[in-house]
Amino acid sequence: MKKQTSRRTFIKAAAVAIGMPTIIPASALGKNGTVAPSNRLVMGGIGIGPRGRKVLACFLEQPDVQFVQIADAQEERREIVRRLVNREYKNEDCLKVRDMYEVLARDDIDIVQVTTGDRWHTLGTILAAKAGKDVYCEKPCSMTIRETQDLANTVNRYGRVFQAGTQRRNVDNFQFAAHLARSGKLGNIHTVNAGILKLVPNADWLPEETLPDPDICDWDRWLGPAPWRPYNLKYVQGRWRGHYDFHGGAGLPEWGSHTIDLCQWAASADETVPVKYEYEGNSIIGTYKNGIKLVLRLSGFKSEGDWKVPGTCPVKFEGDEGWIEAGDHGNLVASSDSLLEGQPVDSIYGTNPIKHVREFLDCVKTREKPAANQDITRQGHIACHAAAIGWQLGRTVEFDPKTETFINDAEANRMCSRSRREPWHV
Amino acid sequence: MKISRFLLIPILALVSNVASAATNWTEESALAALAVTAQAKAEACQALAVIGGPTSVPVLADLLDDRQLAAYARTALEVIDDPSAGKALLEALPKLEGQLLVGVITSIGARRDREAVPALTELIADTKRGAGEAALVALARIGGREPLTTVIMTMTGGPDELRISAAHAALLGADLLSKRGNTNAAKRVLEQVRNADLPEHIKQAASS
Repeated sequence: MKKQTSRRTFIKAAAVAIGMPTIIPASALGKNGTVAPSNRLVMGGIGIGPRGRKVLACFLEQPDVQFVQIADAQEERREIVRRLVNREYKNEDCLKVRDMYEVLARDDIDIVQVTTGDRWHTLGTILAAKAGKDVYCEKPCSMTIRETQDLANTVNRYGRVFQAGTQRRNVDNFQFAAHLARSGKLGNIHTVNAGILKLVPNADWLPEETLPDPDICDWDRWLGPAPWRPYNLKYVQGRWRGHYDFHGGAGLPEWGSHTIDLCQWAASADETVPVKYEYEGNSIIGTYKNGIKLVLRLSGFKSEGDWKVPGTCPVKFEGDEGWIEAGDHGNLVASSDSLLEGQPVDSIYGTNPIKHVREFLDCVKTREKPAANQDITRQGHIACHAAAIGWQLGRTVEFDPKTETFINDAEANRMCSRSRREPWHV
Repeated sequence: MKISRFLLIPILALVSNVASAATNWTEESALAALAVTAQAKAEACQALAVIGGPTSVPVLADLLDDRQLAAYARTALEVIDDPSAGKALLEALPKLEGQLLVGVITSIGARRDREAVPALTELIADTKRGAGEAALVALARIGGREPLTTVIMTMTGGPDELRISAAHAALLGADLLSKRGNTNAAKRVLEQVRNADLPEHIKQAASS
């Protein structure tokens, strides 16, 4: 496996000279079980809202991380993070800025968390990689197939360590289910089922409201590479989801990036994607080249979808000798009790990224690829976007995993990319 | 077929999302909608990104200087498989400045328009227009001996403010050469990056 670029040492006199925070004295001496600065990863954040704070909390729990700076388009969010970090470290050292380039320009920062909305995930990751940072990026990591490719290609070229926020790869019950499927104990896998949310891509604009002071909310920066539309407070408060211009892949990857990813893993299909996508009502049926079916159906968290483990992000893996279902609550249900021998006793909840974050940090040090690395993410996300494109066109589409294009389908291929709003480009 | 403005409202009312917009619109109705509100124009552009052809090009080109709608128009112009789309972008270059100019350059790169190479090369030299970085990326995407030579020369001997951007463009160019099967040329580009006076992490990126 290709070794990634080694990280730089972070203690620099220049950082002190321009007023950057010094390390907490006690931990600088390595006392009381703390990690010496030379082994600590220095971290910045780009766009941290409610989900981002949950991720950040996991990073702050790690003794070998020092979070130093947040960049966000909204002052309220910058301040929340600054206080959160300072409370953790019991100092006033966390810096807050509007412009993410200030974070990326710091030589002492090793890793960044990119937890903006979908529209910024790819560009944020690419800019961070080009600046020599390793990246933890929330999902979905891309708005389109083209963005997915750009992200993976850039991370590979710059030798960075990348972890997508598809943390269920590091959640016990999902791991158990996927390993069971891959072990052959279910027989030959013929169908993998992924719970998704109903697709409702929405092109409507919310009513225009008075543009706030950029120091409070920098709307231009918030939009970033997404196309322009007038400001409305609801977007920046989290109600951007469901809007086509802001929500990757018409909303399918919202949960699909998790559940399809798990299905790819279970089906031993991490290096490919389905070659055909067909539609039956709200369900999408993907077919891999080897005949395995990937069924995308409404998740059971509103009791729809006929799942045995109702709740968020359910998956079911079916072989000719048995099946297993897993969901966020930690439940596992299988066709026979014997298949559940050895199941995890105390699985963490599906939305908890604590182990996923830890794995990322370990990989930053070893330079190995983590579970949700750029190549795995590439395939899972392309499957999401391909399925969404076909659904939007309302017809069966066929896809070539090698060329990563639709076969004889100009319309579908035209939907693989969107122009970034100027001046953003890669 | 011309669509009367009075019919546009019920037509637009049928459009609840871009997904169905792509199949419920005709090119004519989308073009007619471009005469209405900014939102209607945006949605029409998004539909034209899927179904638009040469007829749409002049109307889309008219939006390239519109700070609100240029990105929507460029999404369509990038994918319309007709030389007129590339020509419209090229003709817009001397008329635009600042971010709008950068946007058009980016779209030219996405189309890999070789006709634009001389104009892009001039933009690198014309530091006052501030579009050098975008032009370097566009040249890398277009690829080929002449564009990549310009990128390499900028990396090794160009203005200081563009050398790092040229290095990133060179890395992109090398990857695209490899993707297109020209691995030997890609290796030569990477060697140039490794041998240049650049930050260490960029030189290491050229090591594989």
